[in-house]
Amino acid sequence: MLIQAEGITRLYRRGPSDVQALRGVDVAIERGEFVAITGRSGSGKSTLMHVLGCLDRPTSGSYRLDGVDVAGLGDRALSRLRSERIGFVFQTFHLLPQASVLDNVALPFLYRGGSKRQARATCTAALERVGLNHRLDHLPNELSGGEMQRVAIARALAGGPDLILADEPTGNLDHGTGLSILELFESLATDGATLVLVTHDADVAARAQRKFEMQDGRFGTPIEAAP
Amino acid sequence: MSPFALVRAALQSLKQHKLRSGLSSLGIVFGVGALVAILAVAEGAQLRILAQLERLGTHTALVRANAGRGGGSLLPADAAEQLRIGVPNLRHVAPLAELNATIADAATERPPLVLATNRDYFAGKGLRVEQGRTLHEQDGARRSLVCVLGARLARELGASGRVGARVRCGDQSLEVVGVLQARGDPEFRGLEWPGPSFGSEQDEAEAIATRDIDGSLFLPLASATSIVRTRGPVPPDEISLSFASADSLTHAPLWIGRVLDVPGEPRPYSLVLPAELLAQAHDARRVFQVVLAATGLLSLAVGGVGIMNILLASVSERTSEIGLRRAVGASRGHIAAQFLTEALCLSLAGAIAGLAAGAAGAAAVASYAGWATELTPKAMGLAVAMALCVGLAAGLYPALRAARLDPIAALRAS
Repeated sequence: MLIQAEGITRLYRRGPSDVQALRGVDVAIERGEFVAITGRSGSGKSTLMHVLGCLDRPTSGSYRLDGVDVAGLGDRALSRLRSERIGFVFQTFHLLPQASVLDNVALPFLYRGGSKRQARATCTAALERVGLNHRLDHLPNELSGGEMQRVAIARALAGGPDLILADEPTGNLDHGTGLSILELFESLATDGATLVLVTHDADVAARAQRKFEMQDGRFGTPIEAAP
Repeated sequence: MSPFALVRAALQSLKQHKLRSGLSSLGIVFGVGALVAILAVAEGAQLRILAQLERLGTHTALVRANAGRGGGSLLPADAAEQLRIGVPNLRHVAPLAELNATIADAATERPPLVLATNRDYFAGKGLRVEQGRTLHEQDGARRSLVCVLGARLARELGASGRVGARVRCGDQSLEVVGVLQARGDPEFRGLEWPGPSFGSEQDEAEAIATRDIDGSLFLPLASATSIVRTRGPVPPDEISLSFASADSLTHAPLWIGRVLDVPGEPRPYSLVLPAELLAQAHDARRVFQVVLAATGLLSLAVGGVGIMNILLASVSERTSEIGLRRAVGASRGHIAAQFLTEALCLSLAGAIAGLAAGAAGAAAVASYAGWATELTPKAMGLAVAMALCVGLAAGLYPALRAARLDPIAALRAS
């Protein structure tokens, strides 16, 4: 089991009233699965993604990523975990405007150490995988939205992560471009990547093998297994 | 994260706002520039003083006559001979009187000095002859009417400035027995004894009084009587003493006092010790340098504030970038290191520009004010190190602030 989370809660202290973003989430995801987490905005799906991505720590509950209890890890170990095992894709792409396409993709390697040349080769391969190997030296503002998201996906992919987390990856794209991005995700899933896709769009979620729906910080009943 | 990668990332970020980055390191440029220029001027002055004092020698003392009621020297005319007998470990004893006499037919750029002295003067000052000889012991004993000419004076006198010719000085005709080599060193031309109050408010040029040796005429002190037409022998204005070693200088004041002090009378001389002057010069320089360096440091500190300001703005502007870097695996330490590196890059760039500015400033001071300046690697290294320290200090708070950002909130910031 790649992801094994039990009784995850997350409480935000916001002034006098606390916000209970997660109220006891149990989730188990196998390696190689393509999973969608849906829900309205404010349902806690982004918070869950941050916890699964080791950017945030649960207030209570246990989370094991590939058997490692994440709760016990400090900032450095968590950061290392993110750089080696997790790839994020965001709605707003989050590319560094000052860095070339290749440098953007290589960003996770900056915090890993290891051979620079090898990282470069891996990143070039990742860009080839998303169909952008002709854009290596371009700056992000020279790209279209779909291309930018492809760069972001290549960045998530390049590190060879155990888990790719995507938060509304098609939210800022037009329909056609969004479709092509979804196709890219599907083909990654076919290649064996573990994907968790967070979206409020039912059509997008429909692509996944399994679907969790979040409501008020916990999973609703419908958990559909793919045929 | 390799230092190279850190620097590369920092430069990439800084390049985004070239003007802003440039302006923010301007303070460091001025600070380092000021520091380097100040140190160069101070070092140059220091070297000059050291060189001058070295010429005077650390084995030497100067007995300078105090003026009596009529303005004349209070020293006895045979003071030099008394000292030679009464003070141990002496190598040279050279009395000197500056005579108020004119040289006929001298078309000189400056009025020539007429100096009455003895053989030891030339040895003590390291003066050599170009032609002929310097003064002899017997010249004094016989009160010979002979003279030795400084190189320029000899040239300016033309035919009568040669060995064997005669020069009219006052009412007497003196036979030229020697012509000195030119001192050659234009800066130290005619360097002579320091004045009494070195290290005080007096300018150093004044403090180390210079005598234009190249433009002087030297004659035996014993023969001076016939030039200035006094009744008795001419007393020296000063007596240079050079000792066999620096150690023997320690007791010099005591010995000299025993010889020259007259009980119940005001002391007829004051004593100047170059070795002491050297120490005083060091102290005076140190105060001067501390004050000026403080000024440079102040501008560096202001430069640091400028860098901190820009970095704080940069942190809040680049919140989402920080969030992203955290998401792809940057630890708090990585983020802090990144902003510290940016601060260091800004201060280093400022420091390098400052070095150039400082060198240019020092060169400008050297050419306009005519001061000697000396750029030393030590001073440059010091200025750069200080700039880097300031950069580090300035970067610390913004770096901590960036590192402490909550990555999730930071990611949402865009």
